[in-house]
Amino acid sequence: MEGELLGVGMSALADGATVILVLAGAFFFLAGTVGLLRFPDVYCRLHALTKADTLGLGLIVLGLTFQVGTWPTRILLLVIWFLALMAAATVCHLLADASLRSGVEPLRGGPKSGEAEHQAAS
Amino acid sequence: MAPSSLFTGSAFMALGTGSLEPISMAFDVVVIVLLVGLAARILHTRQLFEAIVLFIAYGLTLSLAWIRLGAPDLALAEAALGAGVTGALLLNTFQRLAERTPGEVDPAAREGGE
Amino acid sequence: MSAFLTGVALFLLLNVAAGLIRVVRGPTQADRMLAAQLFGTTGVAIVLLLSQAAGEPALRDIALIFALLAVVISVAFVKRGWVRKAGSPGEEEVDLGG
Repeated sequence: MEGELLGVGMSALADGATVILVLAGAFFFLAGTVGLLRFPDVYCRLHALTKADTLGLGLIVLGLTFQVGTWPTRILLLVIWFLALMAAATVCHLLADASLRSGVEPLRGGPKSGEAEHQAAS
Repeated sequence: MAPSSLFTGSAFMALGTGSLEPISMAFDVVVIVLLVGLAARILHTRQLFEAIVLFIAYGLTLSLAWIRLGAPDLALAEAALGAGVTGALLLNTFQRLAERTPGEVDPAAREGGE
Repeated sequence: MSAFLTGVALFLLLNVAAGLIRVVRGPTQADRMLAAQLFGTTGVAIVLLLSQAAGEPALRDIALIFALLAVVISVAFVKRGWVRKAGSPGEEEVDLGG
C-alpha cells in the first residue's frame, strides 16, 4: 500500500496520472475503431486495429499501475500488456499473410464505391 | 421489475460497494442490449462466417456479463470454452465444409439475400 | 475513481459495439476476423478497468484469457488455408443490410 504511505498529495497526483493516461488510452481505442470502420482495405484496417488499440491498452495499463497497491500486481498488469502485444503482432501477421495469399490485393482499386477517392489521393 | 432488481442485486454484489452507481447500471444495460442484438443477428444472418464471428463476440460479451454478475470463474470458462474453443471448432468446421462444397456453404454466390 | 473507470469501460464497450459493424459489412473473411482481435484487445482493457473499479483482483486472470483468445481464433482461421482463392476478386459478399 505505497499510495497510503506516500500521503495525500502523492495519492492525488497518482489519481491525476491515472485519469490522464486512461483517457489517452480511450482516445487511441476510439481511433482504432474509427480506422476499422473507415479505412479502405483489410491491410489498412489491420494497421489501425493492431497498432492503435495495442497502444491504447498500453496507456490504460500504465494508468492502472498508479492505482494498484503492490509491485507484483503492477508487473502482472505489464505482463498482460506484453501478452496482448505479442497477440496483436501474431494476429496481424497471420491475417495479413492469409489475405495476401488468397489474392486480396493491397491498396488497389478493391474497395467499394465512395471509398475510392481516399486511395486516389495517395 | 423483477429482472431488473435481480440484475441490480447481482451487480451490487460484484461491485462490493454501498450503492450501485448509474454508470454501472448503464454498463449493464449496454451489455444486455449487445447480447440480445448479437443473438438476433446471429439467428437472422444468412452468412455462416459472419454468424461464427458474431458467436465468438457473443461469447466474450457473455463473459463480461458473468463478470458483472460477480462470477469470475464462470467468466473464465465462458471466455476460454464458449468463445475460444467453440469458436475455433466452428471455424474449422466452416472451412472443411467450404472445401467440400464450395458455393454451398459460402453464400457469396447466392444473390439477393433476404 | 471507481465511477470514472467504469465509465471508460462503458466507452470501450460502445467502441466494440461500433466495431462489430465491420463484421456485418465484411467484405472479406479477414475483415470479419478483425472483430476477434478488436474484442481481444478492447476486452482486456475492459476487464482490467472493471477489475480495478470493482476491486476484484481475480478478474485480471480473465484478461489473460482474453488476450490469448484472438491468437487461438486466428490460428484456427488460417490453419486450413483460406478457402477463397485468387481469381475471385468479387469478394464482396451480399450486403444484407441492417
